[in-house]
Amino acid sequence: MIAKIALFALADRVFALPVEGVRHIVSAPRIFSLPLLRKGLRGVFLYQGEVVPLLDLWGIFGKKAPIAEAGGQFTVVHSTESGLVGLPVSQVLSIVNPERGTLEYEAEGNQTTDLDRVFVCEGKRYPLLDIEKLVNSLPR
Amino acid sequence: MIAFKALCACEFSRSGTSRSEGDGMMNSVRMKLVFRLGGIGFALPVQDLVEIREDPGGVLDLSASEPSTPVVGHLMHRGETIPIHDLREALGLSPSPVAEGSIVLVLDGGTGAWAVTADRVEGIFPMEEFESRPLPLLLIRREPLPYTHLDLWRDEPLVLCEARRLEHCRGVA
Repeated sequence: MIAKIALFALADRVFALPVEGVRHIVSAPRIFSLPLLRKGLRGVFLYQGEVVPLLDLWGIFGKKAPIAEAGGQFTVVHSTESGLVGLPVSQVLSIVNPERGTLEYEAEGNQTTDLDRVFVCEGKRYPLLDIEKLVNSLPR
Repeated sequence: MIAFKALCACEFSRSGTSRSEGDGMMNSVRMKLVFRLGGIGFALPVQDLVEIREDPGGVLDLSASEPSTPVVGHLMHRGETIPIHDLREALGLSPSPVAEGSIVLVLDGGTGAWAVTADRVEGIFPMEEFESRPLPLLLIRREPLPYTHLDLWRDEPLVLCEARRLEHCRGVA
């Protein structure tokens, strides 16, 4: 049962996250590159003295990141079974109760990899990200 | 810059101390070299470092580069010719031509001295400035990486180099 849902924007894309996994939302930190990063990761950043990988959400959305937006304005620090991961966002739109909208499944053919659930709220469709599934699907 | 210039004249002996020409200063080798390659920062324990050649000039033989290998030239070192490797390809970094003004780090390898190029050397710093961190699980790939730890240094994660592990990058078993 999802307690609350956080709605975000990354430039012209919107998406949703269950808040249970969100550890912190911070101003976009400095991103560092490392050799031989896994595809799907954009770099790493420091969070409370630890090195945290940053997901390449643009790539996950199937787009090429515009240079100015590549890192986003904020970074969502999210927990996974493999440790913390960061997600770049441009805006934190809202945090809502699930009852404010409905959860739907994307029809086959409309699905983007791992973005098969959608939270529909006030007429707008927010793909609901499953971060655990996303990181497990990153190519090794 | 003066400290770095003095450092370029240093030769790090295998006994683990450095001798600086002209000043007689002896330093304990609990220090790491910080250098940059392809925009990424690296930390190398000085016990793996034999010498830093800044602007090798005429001793850098770029004509002897070996096509389709990471060997970009050769260097005369203590009477021997040693290969100079550009680790960019092995580390998945963008290629960049090696010019005669490049910095070359001579490393202490398991099979003898060898050298790698660097874009810039930040300096040599005491171990206390570094905090070791294991690689986050999400960074680990199916093939072993040429590095297993990071060093936090002045709010920046550096790749911790070990000369023997880097040797695998250049195809030495």
